[in-house]
Amino acid sequence: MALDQVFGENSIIFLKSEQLFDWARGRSLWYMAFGIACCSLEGLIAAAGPRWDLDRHGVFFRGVPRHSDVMIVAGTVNRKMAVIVKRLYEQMPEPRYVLSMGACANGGGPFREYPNIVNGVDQIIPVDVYIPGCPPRPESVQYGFLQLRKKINDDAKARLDT
Amino acid sequence: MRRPALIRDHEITAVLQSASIAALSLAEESCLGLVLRVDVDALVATLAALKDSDLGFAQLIDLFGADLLEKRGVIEVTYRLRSLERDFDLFVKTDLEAGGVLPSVTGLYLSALLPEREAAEMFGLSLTGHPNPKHLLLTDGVPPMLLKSVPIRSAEESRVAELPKDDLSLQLYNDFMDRGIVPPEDPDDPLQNYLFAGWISPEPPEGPLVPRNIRRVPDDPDALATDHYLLQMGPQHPSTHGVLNMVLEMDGETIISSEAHVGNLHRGIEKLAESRRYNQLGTLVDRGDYVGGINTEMAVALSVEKLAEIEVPQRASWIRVLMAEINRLASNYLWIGPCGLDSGAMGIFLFCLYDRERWQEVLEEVTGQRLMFNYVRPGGVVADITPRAVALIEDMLKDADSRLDEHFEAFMASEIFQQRTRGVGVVTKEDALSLGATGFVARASGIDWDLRRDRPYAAYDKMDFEVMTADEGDIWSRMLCRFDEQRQSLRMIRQCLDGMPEGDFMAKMPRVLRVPEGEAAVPVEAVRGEMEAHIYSDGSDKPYRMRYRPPTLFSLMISDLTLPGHFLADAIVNLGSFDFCFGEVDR
Repeated sequence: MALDQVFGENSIIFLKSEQLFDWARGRSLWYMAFGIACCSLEGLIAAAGPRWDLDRHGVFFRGVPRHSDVMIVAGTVNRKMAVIVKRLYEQMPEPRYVLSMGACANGGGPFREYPNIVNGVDQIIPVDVYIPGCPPRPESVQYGFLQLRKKINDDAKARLDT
Repeated sequence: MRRPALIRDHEITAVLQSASIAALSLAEESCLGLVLRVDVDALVATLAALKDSDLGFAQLIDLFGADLLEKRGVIEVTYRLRSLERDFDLFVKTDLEAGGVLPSVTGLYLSALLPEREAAEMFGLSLTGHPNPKHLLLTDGVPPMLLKSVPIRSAEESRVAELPKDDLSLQLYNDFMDRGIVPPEDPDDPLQNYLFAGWISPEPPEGPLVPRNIRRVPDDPDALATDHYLLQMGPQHPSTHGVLNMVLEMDGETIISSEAHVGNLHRGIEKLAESRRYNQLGTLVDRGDYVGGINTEMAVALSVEKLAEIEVPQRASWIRVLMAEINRLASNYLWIGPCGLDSGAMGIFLFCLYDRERWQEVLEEVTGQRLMFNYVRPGGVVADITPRAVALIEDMLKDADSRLDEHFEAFMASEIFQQRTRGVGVVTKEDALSLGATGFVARASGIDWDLRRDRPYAAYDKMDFEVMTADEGDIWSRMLCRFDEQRQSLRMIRQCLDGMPEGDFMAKMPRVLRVPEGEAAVPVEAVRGEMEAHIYSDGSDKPYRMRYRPPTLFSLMISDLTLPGHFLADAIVNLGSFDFCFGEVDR
């Protein structure tokens, strides 16, 4: 048996440890404190507040993109902002995840007719979880984070099964 | 209550005659008040004469354009002047042809700085005499959006609309990523400057230095000691409370000058309002001032009601006051809490959020939504208050006052906080007048003016409350005035519960509301200052033009003025104390 099959990529040890890392990643999703518009009140402030308390899921805000794993795109992205969103996304270390929160970030929302608006943040950066609503309630954001955790764990599991 | 001393038209005619200016017309318009029309060449002289006269037009409250090319072949620019002494608003209007030149009045009223830039870019005008005539809200390559000839996306287009591949901002970004950090090619191009501001080039660029925003570390250490650098704060910065982008010129820790870049959240509320029915306007303005939605909805509803001469039932007016004050409380909690975070106090943030959630529960019970209410509509309100809401409010009122005292003790009474905020970020009364300050910013600078008391709307004339003013104009006075607002809100909520009259909550309204031709603007004391929806109607079921006066756009100019000379750490508390809301600044 070659050493590759034991320790190399797609080996059982590699994948098992990867799964362990993903388990850990899913339980400390630090998001960037970056509220664009109205959704930030619900998704960043109220959700971090005493009633919903996202901290207990290991979800906590960081001020800097370089410290964060998750970017919540909480609001309308226009052409001026698109550049900044993209730059912030590229500043985040990998693995990085994006939650698109609210109607505006998902597809333009009530402002989709205005030519200055980017209809959906997925035109600029890849999105992992879409949260519907205008604005979504903090519970929805909580659920979005749980779905993201599930997605992270499923990735490694799928590779292990194949 | 103060006695309004109306300014008669002959007084204004006398002022104009003494300055030998010929007005085109001076007439009373039914829904607007006194309107003075002047030729564009005489505009600056007219405003100068009015400002210097003893009528006391010290404030330029608003400045905006309207595209009347289809109707009269002109672009109309409106200046709303206010005399606080005489409690009077005068509208000065001037006509420009398409693509005309707008003379700047920033020499007279500093509050014209940003609104002039906005009017110029939105209507394709050019400015003369403006110190900084750049784009304000839009990026390059976007046409003047508020012109009627510029269409919005159709339903099909909006479903598939992608970013144009030739979008200048994205192109520049991709170039930037491919080439790494290099100086901008054209240092005078505002967009490039915007993208590259604050970057220090690794290699000395060739040719004559120094482009405005790129400064190299000088070889001589002595020169280093006095070299200023540019610091780009935002748009992603936890304490800018949104997407403000401040470019600060720093000398060590001290701010030398600052310039606010806005437009990162510009989403065309004014443009889209032209394609919405009057009942649907609430959905748009809610997303403007997204923390204090009820107050802004009320501004729209009051303007429409004035135009359409709708009689609002008494109960509806009282419910409006009740909900507006609850919304004001909830919004103020979301101001004090993050202000605490900005100055290093985490506890108060959690205290305030706890109380805010309890008030949000009341709002949700009555309106069905937590943030975007669309609750106040022309004719009244959408739903009556429920018994459960009354029970919730009564439960809150039991300890609301004592909890406010607790917040004060825990946060404001702290000596450290007072040392950081007293005498910092001072706005003098003259500056506040000249920069169009309204609301708590004006009151903290000694301007005794509250629209709820001085021009009561809804049922505010039946409320008993006090207006607190302070003279210092520093951060501390702004916080104090706003804190007192909370107590007054609680007083008004109690009065509303006690005196709520019986009756309908909505007037009899047609299914599709058509509003007679005309213009109306009813100023409303929104959470952050004076907000008004200036509506032009052409007799159809949609507004021809809606101007949203954003109070925090004016506060933004004031903050630019107060930052220089302070430390960077104080700048963050200072910015927080103005309570910006960027949905509103950028609209």
